[in-house]
Amino acid sequence: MKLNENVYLSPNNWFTVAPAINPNYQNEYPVQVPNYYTSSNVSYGGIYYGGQSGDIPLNVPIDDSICYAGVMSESPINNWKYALLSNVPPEINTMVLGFSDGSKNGVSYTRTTDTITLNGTLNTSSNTILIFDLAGDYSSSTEYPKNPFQGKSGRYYISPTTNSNVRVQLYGFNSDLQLQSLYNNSAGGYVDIDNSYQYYVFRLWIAGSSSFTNLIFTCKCTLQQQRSVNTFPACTPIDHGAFLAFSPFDSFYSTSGDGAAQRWCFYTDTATAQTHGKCQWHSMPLTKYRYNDIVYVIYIVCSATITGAIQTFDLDTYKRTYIQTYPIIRAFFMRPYIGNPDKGFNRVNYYISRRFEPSGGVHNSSIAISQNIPFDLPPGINLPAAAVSPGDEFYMYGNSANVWRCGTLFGIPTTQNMQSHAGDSDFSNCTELAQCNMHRTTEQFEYVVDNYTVRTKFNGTLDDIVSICAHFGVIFSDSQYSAETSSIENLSDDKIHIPIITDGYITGEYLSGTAAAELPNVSWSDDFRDKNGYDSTPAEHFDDITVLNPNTTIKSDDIFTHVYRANYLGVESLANWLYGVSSVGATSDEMLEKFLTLNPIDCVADLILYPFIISPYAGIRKPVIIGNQTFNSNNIYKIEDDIFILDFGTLNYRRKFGDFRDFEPYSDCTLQIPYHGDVHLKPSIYCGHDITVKCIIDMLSGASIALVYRDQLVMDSIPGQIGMHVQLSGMQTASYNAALYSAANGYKQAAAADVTKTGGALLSIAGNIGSGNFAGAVSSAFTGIMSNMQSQISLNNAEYRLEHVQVPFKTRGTNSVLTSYGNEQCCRLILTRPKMLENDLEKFAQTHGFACCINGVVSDFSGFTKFSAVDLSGVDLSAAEKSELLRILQSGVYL
Amino acid sequence: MTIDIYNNISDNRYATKDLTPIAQNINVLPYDRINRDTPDFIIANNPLAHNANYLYCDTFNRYYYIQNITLDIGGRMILHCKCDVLSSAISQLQNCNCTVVRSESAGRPSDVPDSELPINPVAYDTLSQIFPVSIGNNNDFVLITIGGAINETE
Repeated sequence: MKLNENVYLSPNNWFTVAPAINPNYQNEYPVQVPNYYTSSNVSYGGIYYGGQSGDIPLNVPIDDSICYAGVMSESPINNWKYALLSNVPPEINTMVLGFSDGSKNGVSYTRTTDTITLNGTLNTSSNTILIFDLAGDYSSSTEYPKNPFQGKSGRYYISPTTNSNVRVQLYGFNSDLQLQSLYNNSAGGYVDIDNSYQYYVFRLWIAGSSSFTNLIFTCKCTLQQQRSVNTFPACTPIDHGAFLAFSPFDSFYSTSGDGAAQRWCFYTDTATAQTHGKCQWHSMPLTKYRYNDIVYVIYIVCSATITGAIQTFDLDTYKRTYIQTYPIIRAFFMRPYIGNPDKGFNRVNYYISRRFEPSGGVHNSSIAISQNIPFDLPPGINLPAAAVSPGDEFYMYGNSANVWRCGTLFGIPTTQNMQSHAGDSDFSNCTELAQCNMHRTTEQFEYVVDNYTVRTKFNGTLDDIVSICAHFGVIFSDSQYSAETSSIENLSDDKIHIPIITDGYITGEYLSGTAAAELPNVSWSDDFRDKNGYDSTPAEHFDDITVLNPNTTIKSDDIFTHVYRANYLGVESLANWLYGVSSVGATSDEMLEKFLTLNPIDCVADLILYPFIISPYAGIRKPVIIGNQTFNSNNIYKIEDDIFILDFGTLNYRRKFGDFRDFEPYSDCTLQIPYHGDVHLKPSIYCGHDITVKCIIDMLSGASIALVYRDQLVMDSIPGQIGMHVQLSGMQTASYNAALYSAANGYKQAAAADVTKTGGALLSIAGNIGSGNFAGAVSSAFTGIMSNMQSQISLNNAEYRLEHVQVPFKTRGTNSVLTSYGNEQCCRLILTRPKMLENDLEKFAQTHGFACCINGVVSDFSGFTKFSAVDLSGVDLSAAEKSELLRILQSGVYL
Repeated sequence: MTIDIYNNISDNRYATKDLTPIAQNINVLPYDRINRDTPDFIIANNPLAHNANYLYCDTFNRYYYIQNITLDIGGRMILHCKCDVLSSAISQLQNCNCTVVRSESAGRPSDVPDSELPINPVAYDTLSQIFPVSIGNNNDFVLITIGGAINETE
């Protein structure tokens, strides 16, 4: 089983190590669901001929040219006839499918990379069944896709239909044309497609009393992100860094008062009693535990006969004492024990499991729901519609101490004839769930059918059970006593088993006791990154690396300059204040006294915009010093430190292959750092190590340097500019005052000249009149008027200049480029890795071997081996023969 | 001198051949000088040996590939052979010190670059990981002023 890489790519994803199902794992342990529900009230049909006998070809033209509906020559079940499409070329991803009446304007389907969309308009009446197949050619050609999911295995979410009376059904046909229901719902849900069936067929099932006219119908199947989906109950991840969670308290949940005392745990961060509808009484917060805080003990539920009373023993006790007495293994499960550093592990009294409710069918609450994590339902299990509604709430169910209701890895631990809940026909439901909700091989499994009841019997060996448990990747034990008395800190008990996780794979292998003490997962911390399960080998460190402490005493402000943190309101208020004090027309002496300069804006040395809130880093509120003045604002704080460090956190650059392919030139790595650009990281330096990015920011200049750490050591540094200088502007008060003074002075002079010239003209006129020189008086009057007019113009001009003295502005600096603010504000590691051609590496190794450079003796090697040098001393051959032998060995031999 | 005749279905590069015995302890008829490395063994015609391709000679303590067979006059057949030094020496070879550059038993690729590994020459997987801390969507100013403030306003 390979842990899903996507889970670990981002801390925003949940993490889990163990019991995950992904396609790889399912391939290893195929889950096959027995079809116990053969519905008798469902009509079948489709592009068909109504269940009539005979082999009537039905070549309904599906598309204009090349797609045809045909008929299978054999009836898959109960003589129902299915019309299947044939001759669908692989490049045809959109087509119109026919209706049962032969019309071609039925339902279409569109296939994209990860979706299959069914669209159509229904004009149908009761009991009309549409069946259409997306499988392509069944007749002869093998080049056409056999089903719409070909090459697209995974978990699909099928959207709810637009009408609850229209149900989407998906069936798979085995090679012998046996039909298997995979999905049957109108409310939406998930279906796992592993392409194990030869054909896949979609159907629309119309409720018997429904009739539609022009009902627009849409159904979309979307391939879900492949991620871990837990089936082992206790291991659903709930939070970063939390591997498991348990509630130390009981919380009761019961829908029917049957005393089942099913215990609910609703995960919360605070110890608040929940009143959620699904948690009717108290739900207590869960407690997080580390991976290695917990050991799981394997228990066997067994009986003397298939119908006999059940007994439960831990595996070790069963193996030593009871295997002969109770040979029938009805179920097995693992019970968690929580570790105590001083006292070993303590049993958790309540099983943690998904809930399936024997008396009430399967409830919504029985399914762990988390956003984007699909339901954990195996194919073929069709929940009631109400049970299937994806949501972002997460529930974890703590089962009661009653053994018969624990979540098992196999089987149902009930008493004989299911009588622990007598007459409960829904037990078959539970049985199916349990049977499917485990990892097993069909060879290890046996049904025992007795009338309507179905029991299970484990048909494998005890080693098989241990192997199954080991595949969950959790620490486990076959002895309750060992779990209660052992300590993970000091492993010495051979009944404590630690799974071997190699390169991200839960191998199913394990080591026991002291031999396991060095396995990395024994000492996994509570840091979720530590448990990424990929490369669990401790990171390599250089010896004696001492990281020199940075100089924290350097401080350039508060000497001649003062540094503040301000938000927009603070800056705005300061600007307003500065413009106010600049425009009061103070004298130069006053300005110098107040601001040490004639232009107050000169007291602002710089204004730098940063893309984050500075206050979390440092600062107390103090008046802003401007020259010899201070300015108070509630939005401006004094910064005490000139240097700030912005820590983007740490990622582990995991080795994917564990060999040369992880390094250049095969792999490449680029680190994008906001405000610093891209930096190429050498995989040979960083691969397999933690990468930490920190920015050291000089708050006084806006410059920064990004330090890239490999583990604790700085390996790269990239200069950048994170602060944006903002252009400043202000009045040049001194110039303004000078211009104002000059204009006023000019006005005064013009006004004085005007008075003088008017008076002189009047005196000249009066003198001429007195002397009887009227002509001279007229001339004087004219001259006076003209002179007066000129002085009036001069006065007006002076007045205009006084009234229109321009305010001289001053700017400082320029705005920096803002483009980096539009980019993403986090560091991103971009990894490029080689893809392999589709080859069987095992067969490749048989003919080529793997490149290596290993010294040893010849007997150390087997299979295909190619030597570079062999010391043939001691080989009783002639010199010529030795030369020939060396040539052969160097060209490759099979040992 | 006797030889054991076999049918070998193994690739010549196998140190231990998969042999099917055809005839054992066949007397070699002395006729001419016999070269040890590329001998011609002359034996009485044996139809069972006509399709043989491998033999062991006890005198030389070596295995030989039968490269050709000649049916001679006098009811004789001549086996033209070449020594299989690998199989002949394999038991003595086991304890020889060696350096191996390709090995099936290595089990998996190593850190040694392997140009023969079937890597897709044109396709790559690209993925990205986001660091846990993001700067966020905020802003603040740093204001730097000059002065010595002896008066307080506002």
